[in-house]
Amino acid sequence: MSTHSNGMPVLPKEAYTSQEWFDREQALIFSKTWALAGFQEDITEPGQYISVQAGLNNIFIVMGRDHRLRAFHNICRHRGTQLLRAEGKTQKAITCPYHDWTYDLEGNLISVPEQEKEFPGIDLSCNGLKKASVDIWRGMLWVHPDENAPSIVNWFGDVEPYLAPYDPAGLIETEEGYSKHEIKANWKIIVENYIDGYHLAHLHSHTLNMYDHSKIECEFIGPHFAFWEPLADFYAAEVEKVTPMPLIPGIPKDRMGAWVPMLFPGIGLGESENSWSTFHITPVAPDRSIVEIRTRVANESTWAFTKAAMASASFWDKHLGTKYNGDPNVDPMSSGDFMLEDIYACEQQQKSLQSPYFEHGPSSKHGEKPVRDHQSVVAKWMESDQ
Amino acid sequence: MRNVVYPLRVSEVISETKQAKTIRFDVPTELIDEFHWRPGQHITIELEANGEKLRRPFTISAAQGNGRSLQITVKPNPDGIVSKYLCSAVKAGHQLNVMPPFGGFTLVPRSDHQRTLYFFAGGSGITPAMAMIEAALEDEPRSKLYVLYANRSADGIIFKEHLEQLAERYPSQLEVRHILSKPSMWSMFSPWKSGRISKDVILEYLSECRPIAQDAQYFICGPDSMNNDVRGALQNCDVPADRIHAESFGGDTGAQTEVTSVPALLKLDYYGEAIELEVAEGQSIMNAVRAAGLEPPYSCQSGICGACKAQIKSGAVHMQARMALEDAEVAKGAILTCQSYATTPELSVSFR
Repeated sequence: MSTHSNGMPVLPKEAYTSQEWFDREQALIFSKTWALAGFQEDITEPGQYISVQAGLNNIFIVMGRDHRLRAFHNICRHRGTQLLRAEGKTQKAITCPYHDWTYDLEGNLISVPEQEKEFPGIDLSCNGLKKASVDIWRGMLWVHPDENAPSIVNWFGDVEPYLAPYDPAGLIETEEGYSKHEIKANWKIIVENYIDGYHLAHLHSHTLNMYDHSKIECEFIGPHFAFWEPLADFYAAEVEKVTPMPLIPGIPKDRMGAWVPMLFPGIGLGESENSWSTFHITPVAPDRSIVEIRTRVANESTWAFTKAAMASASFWDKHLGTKYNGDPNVDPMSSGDFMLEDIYACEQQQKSLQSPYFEHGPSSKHGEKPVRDHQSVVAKWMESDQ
Repeated sequence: MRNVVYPLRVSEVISETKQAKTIRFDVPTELIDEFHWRPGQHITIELEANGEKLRRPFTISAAQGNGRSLQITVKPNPDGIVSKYLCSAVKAGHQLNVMPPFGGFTLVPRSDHQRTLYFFAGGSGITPAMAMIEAALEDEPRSKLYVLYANRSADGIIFKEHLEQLAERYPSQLEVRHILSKPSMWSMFSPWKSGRISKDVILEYLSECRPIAQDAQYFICGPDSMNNDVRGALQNCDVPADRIHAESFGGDTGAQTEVTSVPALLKLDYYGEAIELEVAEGQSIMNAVRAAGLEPPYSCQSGICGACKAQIKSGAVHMQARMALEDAEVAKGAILTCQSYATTPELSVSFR
């Protein structure tokens, strides 16, 4: 394993290619941290539930009539059958489809069919659902497989001062801001691309130039990466007039810009002057990941959005463009879409890792320091084998 | 707790409503540690009337810190000699005999906690809630507090202005709603609701006051009938019993009156000293201990305050009332000695 200080990567090649590494990450990282489960508004009524995968654990969240959320491992205590699928609404009880064992919303086993005959002497109270933890932070739902998980405030508290100074729970989700991508790359390659400040001015020279990459402020706060950069001067000068969407209230003029943290493990936020989004990476194989993006915007009328888009269209025609002038349908570098540019870069890296001639190159002193830092964080969690 | 009485000087008496008074005390420097309190705790006032010592617990109605004094807020109870005396005769400069703070119905704020704290207060039951609210607002700033406060009419609302000021000062942390059972037609005050706290009211309240932080705790402090209604309504909405914390403020205690007790040999671990004594049939553990010439701590003698708490090590007792104990404490052997009657011929009890 290379060392950190000489500008070389920290993790070996196998960290990005081997099934064994992947399995250990699932057990040691993704099953032992708070996992993003959705937005607060995904569950609003008693009885409503969603189920999510958090590392090796499938967990469901359900709301009781007290409007408090409960989280349980989605495993019937009888034969282990999954109890609830995807999302939906239940009443006062949860019944396993296999043998109709029934639990109440506190996870207590309340009914076993033919109990007297088939399970004489069974103690129902020993067969309640296994509890997990659930909480709401920054307008998002989070789950942790451990019933006695460390509080979410302690997990994210130190990075909070480095996030956008507005409350995401006050924004509204937009359908146009939703996308889901299957990317043929290891989850860490996608994270590394997300936190690499060196590539912004190059790969995205024509797509993310509304921010000033020379004034980036970023650092790791514990396992989480904090990042902020201001608006580019040409945009800042008339941001109220040319923002393509209504501005989100609450940002002081001198901090107008983008907060783009990467929360551990693999949960990016994009908190900008006019939109707020989650960039949720879920590893599915050593060389494959799903990225789901959800976006919230200012709670303004459709007319306010139309007006902003129309008023700013000619301004952005002038300032945005494409890196290369090829066929946008064939070449991601000619698409004018920074997401396609990033996906292309990530998938190419993953492909090259298969080549016997692949060798890690040197990484940049400043712009790519976060990449090495993230590798150190991962390395540390992988050692914590208990 | 230690069974010691200190004379404290009354520094100030404030009229809160037509009936309720707040009595503030000067605590001399050398007693500050002794009189350190957690929000929700009581002090005991001892009076002598007709040659008899009377002890009654009163809740401390402010949180410690930020220049606040030790204070109790008292409403005269028609049958209560002590509360009537406190509300009518006590003036600034008087001395009162006071026992140090005690009690397990507390809220201990933690700055790194993010919780949803619900308070259901009725009448003078606002007193422990008030101390808890002040402490949580200052020392647990990430938590959200929802207060539902029940009274007969607007002019009887203790701390009405104080609560309004706090809600203005901490708008994102505190939300106060009032419910009045007999609102006056002439009052300008408009409560959130009129009538009693019923199941439907609780259901509506919880759907409007939703928890953001999922660690929700429910504190109920009012008369027994209200406490029972609120507890029942909360449990009806799936609130787990271990998240509900209640303390009784007046009214029928709901105690069981039928005692089935047996004479017993009581082995006592009395603050490290081993003592054996007899308990007669129908005699409470507390009375047996006091009859033997010992002076264990006690205060309300009705199972509410928890001053006489001890641990049962072997044998069994029947408790007539046990408002002051959480189920989890009882499971670990806590008993209220003034409410406990032996049901086995031998038992051992430990006072610490």
